Amino acid sequence: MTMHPIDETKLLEDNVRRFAEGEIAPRLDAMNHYPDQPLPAQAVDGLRELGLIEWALPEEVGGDGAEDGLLATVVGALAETAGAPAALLLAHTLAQRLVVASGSAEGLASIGPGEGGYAPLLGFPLYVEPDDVGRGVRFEAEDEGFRVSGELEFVVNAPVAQRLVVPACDASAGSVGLLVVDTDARGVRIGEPLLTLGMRGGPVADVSFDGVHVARAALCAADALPLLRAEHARLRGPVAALCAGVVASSARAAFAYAQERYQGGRYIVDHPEVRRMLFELMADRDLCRDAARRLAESPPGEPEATELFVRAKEAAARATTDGVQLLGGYGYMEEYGQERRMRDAKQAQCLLGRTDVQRQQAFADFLAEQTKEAAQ
Amino acid sequence: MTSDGNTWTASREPTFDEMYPILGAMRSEQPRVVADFELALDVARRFRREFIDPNALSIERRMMADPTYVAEDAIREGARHHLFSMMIPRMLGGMGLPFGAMAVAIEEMGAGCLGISNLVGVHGLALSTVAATGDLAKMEELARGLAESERRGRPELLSTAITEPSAGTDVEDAHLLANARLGCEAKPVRGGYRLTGRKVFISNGSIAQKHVVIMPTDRKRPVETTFAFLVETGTKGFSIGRVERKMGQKACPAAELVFEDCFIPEERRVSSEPLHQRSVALVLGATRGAVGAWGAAVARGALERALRYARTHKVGGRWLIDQQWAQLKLAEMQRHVMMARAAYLEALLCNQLFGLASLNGQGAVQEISRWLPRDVLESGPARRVVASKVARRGAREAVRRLPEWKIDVSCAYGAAAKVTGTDLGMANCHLAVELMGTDGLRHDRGMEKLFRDAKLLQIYEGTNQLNRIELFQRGVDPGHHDVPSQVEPAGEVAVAAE
Repeated sequence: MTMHPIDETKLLEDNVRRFAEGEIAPRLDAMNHYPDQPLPAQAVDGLRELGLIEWALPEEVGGDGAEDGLLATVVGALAETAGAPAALLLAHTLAQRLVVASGSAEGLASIGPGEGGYAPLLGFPLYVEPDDVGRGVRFEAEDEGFRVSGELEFVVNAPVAQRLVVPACDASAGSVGLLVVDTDARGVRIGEPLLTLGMRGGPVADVSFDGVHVARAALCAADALPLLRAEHARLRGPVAALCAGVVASSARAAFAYAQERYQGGRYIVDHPEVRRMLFELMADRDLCRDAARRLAESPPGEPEATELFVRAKEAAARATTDGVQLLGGYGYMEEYGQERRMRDAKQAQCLLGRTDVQRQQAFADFLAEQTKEAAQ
Repeated sequence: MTSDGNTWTASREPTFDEMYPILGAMRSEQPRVVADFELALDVARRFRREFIDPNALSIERRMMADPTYVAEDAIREGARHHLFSMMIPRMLGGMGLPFGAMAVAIEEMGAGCLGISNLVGVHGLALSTVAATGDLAKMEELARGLAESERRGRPELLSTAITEPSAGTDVEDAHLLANARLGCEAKPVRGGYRLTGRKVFISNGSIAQKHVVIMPTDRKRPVETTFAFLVETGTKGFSIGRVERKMGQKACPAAELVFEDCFIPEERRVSSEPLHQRSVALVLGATRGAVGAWGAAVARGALERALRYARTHKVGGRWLIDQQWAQLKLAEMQRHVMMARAAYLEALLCNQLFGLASLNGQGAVQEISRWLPRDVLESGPARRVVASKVARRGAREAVRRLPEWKIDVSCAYGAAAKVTGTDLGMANCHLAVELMGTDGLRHDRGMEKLFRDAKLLQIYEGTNQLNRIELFQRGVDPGHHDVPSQVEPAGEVAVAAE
């Protein structure tokens, strides 16, 4: 029996929610104190059990070729419990998509399921603008391959990944290439896991490359900038969905608290100012949801796509700050979860790069397009 | 850039006159007053440079691993710089600087670390609370005890316990208190009171030696019966409960205080009059301006970090400091610092004219005590004068006689400064993280900690929502306290906000 596509989406979403509520939620305290406490194994193993680590790969290598809309649904569902596993999945998926989009058969083989039947978890610098992501690392031809040197900061998944997808500057050509590097290759040093503002449990580390030798086949794309820009743009919908998930969770907690908390002679939900703040919180949640849907399903052209994207990220940061405020002193305490949502949303605002740079780039692209059309 | 990387201008720290042109302009007219403010800045700057900046991040990492860790080094270094006794009058053993000068010190320290600044500054709330009752004897006990213990190297810390699990905003306002759901009560018994209940989120609660505990003697009539009690750590029936795991300001622990039939003798009650008649308003009118100073501190700390980053990093192949969007963001942050600073300075100077600080002997008594040698001020006869019934009656009368309009003005300025400073501080933290990219997200670069620290400022000392109501009631339409219910109660709402 063929299932209707909509049923598959709902089924996947329900499975992901069950996983998040059953496996991630009970471990949030440990994740919140990563790296001072060990990362719970379920943070990665659970995603693998759901099939999400192989999911974005093409069908011919055992994946499902996950569509943007489905990815957005999954990420949003995860983020309603915690932003960290959503960020972990986004970094891994972006890295996979970059290699797939490069068309490199060797690259695809290196990220596909290996002998054990599992695809390697990939690490990638998820928080940097595409034009800047290759600046810290260089590679140059050596023997039958390349020598890689430099440092890549803030690489998501680096502490737990098997491979890294490394944007690096070609020393001779000046272009940015894309390399797949084993994390246990000689000369690769993964730094101590970083303590970050948010998404704790979506592990991050600096990585240095001390003359790492890689085979020629490790280079998936010699000029990766168009790929980087295209795949960053594709990921905007899922990032907006992550924002929507975090804000929805914050709004839910604030609404519940406002009905229970009694101050000033009434339940605080009956204070007009509290109602105003809850209204704005829900409006921002809906803005993020709308942006996620539009960006994932039928992205508009520039600059509208970037408008939707930056507004969603900024709305999430703004809304969750008020989400803490609505719970007063309890909002500031770890056990109530609101402070974590505020931190996750602020960190999410930096996903795929700074909103200010994204604005400038989008308008520059729009002007270039206008100029080209006028010339024709 | 200077070698320590902590300055926000090209080659030097800003001068006093650059930061406070109002005071600089006053120098020729009030040289001694301005000198006090300059001294406060100098002391705090040295403490920040020598201790806070090199240690703030590592102290926080220790406390993240163990919330019960006590930053003893910070306390002792603060004592070495006389920060605990800075605003205590000279006749009570302190440095005797004006209340506003303490705020200058607060901003300087807070730009380095809000938690350490709070650890060192929160005793001001306890002293202000007792001062506002006019109970000179208790004021002398706390202030002199703190000043003398500071001189011995380890100050006797103070906490102020107001908030209850079900009453946060409500206990900050006499008009809200009437309907508060209180759990604490100091039941009168023979010879004293039995305290029961829990206080929560008490800054320094787990490490203070003395606690100013606010409780009603009849919780059905809290407005008429709330008093302050002095309780010492170790008193039978008093224990420390949980130490909270906060988002930030971790160097200053927030703890639960538990009272289980804790007997406090009559003589440990502060003042003979209930607290809420005017004292709470006087205290908050003063301390909220100080919280505004913390807001300015955070605004400035964010600017410093963002500017340092912009000068040393490239984005898109160009130095960030050369890019107009970054320049305008930094300019906006600087504007916020200036506004926040002007607001708290105005509030604290206003307090010296109209509020609690105007009762602290700023006039002739302050001048006299400035010139008398310390051994005269601390001699037996001088202490007997301070503790005399005449002096105590005079202090209580000064509180009672303060006109309501003066309390309104000082409270309005305090509330405005608190909202302005803390909102702008939070705004600057948002802007700085946005500008700094991944550097703004990692603990070892300092900005993400400031972001987490800043949020609490919008919540404590009355949420910014409550402070806006206070500003309306005291500054826009004074006397407008009875706000009828403006909406239909929501009733039993079961639908979640999906």
